[in-house]
Amino acid sequence: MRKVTFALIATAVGVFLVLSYKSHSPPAATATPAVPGPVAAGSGPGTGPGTGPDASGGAAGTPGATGGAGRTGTFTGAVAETPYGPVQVRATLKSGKLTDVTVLQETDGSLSRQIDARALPILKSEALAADSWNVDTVSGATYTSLGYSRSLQSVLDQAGTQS
Amino acid sequence: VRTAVEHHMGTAISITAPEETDPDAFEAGCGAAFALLHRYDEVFSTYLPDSAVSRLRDGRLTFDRIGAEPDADALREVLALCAQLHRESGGAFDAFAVGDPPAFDPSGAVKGWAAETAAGILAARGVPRFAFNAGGDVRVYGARDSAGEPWRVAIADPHRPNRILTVIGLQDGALATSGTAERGEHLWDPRTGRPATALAQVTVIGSSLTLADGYATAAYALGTGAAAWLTALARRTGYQAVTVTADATVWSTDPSIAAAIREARAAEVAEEGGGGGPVGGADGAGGVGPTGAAAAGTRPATGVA
Repeated sequence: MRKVTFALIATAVGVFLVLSYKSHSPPAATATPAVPGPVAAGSGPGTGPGTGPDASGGAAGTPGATGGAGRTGTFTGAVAETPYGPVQVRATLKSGKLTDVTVLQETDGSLSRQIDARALPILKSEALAADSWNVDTVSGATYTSLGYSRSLQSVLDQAGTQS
Repeated sequence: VRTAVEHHMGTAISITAPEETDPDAFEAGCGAAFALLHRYDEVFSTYLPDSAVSRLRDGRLTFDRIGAEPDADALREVLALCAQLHRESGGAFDAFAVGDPPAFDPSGAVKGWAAETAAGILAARGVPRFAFNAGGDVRVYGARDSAGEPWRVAIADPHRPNRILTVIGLQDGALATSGTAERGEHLWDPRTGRPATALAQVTVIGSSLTLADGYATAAYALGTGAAAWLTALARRTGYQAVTVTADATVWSTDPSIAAAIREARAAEVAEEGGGGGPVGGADGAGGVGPTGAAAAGTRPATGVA
């Protein structure tokens, strides 16, 4: 894995900057280096929802077999109520790493539909980026819907993973 | 990690702190920070019909009478900030010329200022290390762990929802991004009286989220003039910037950031067989960053010409 870390000091404001990046690959393919083991290493792109075991409304993942690296499978989050309606997500994990997020229920109504059309794909990117790049938070296009966050959190709680 | 998320000021506010954070201090501090944001929303919201700002907009409240408002200090602080940003941006930021017809709307300054203030409250409540994300504008205190590793703040790619441009390590600082991807065309160019559209996104990195957000908003409104203004801003204040144009070209005041993004894109093109989208001309031309620190050549070339 190519990874370069270098530091520079923005002296005038005393902000300590470290710029680090990895090669930019689909999340499923980048999940490899930090998680040793055949499960993660053998995975490629295209592991969307449906490839893992699933059961509506609950955790259906299998325990990770590789050194306690976390669970593998597809997990359906709880329905989170929002002012715009219910939101529900389904997430796929490999060895405890988030590899895909699908929105099962979006809010409806023209206003919220408009919001969600922008927000939900962006939220998905935040979740995936946060995992595959090992970042703490994302700046930019992050209209982070509370309902989405709640539903996704319930997935992570079920799977016993930490993002 | 410990996290708390609430919806305020029309966006989600998320706070992340290390696992070892005192849970009581975290809970109390987040509660106080959220309460402050809730109060500021009631003062500054343009959607709440009886907020002070709504009353200023329709004339029920006049500027010479804000001293009688319960949150007069907050109003004065934001008005002073708007004046400062207007001055520093040569008029590109103008809270008195938003929309058509032009009206008073300080929203472009309020979110960063409110988040900076709320983050300060959390710190004052005994939470020394945390990342505070207000709808994509980020303020971090301390480092992410006791070893002094900086917080890792990703900058989203405005053109590709599943991707990020790069990751900035940040300790005791702020990183704000303004653009259209967040909530539609919500930024206004007062000089043309139209939504600003030349840039897809502007990110500003510095010590204060109040100023980083204000500068990002101003630069976004400047559009094609943003690079020159941001270059001068970096020279004057040390605040660094990353811009992405509507045609996905990336530019930064800091050549090392531009180089990192360019390399990441080149690597992506190499891996995905050219499916990685346009590779921007991120060449630090005109940039004034600390060039001596740029170590962009530490990684072997990826085989892409």
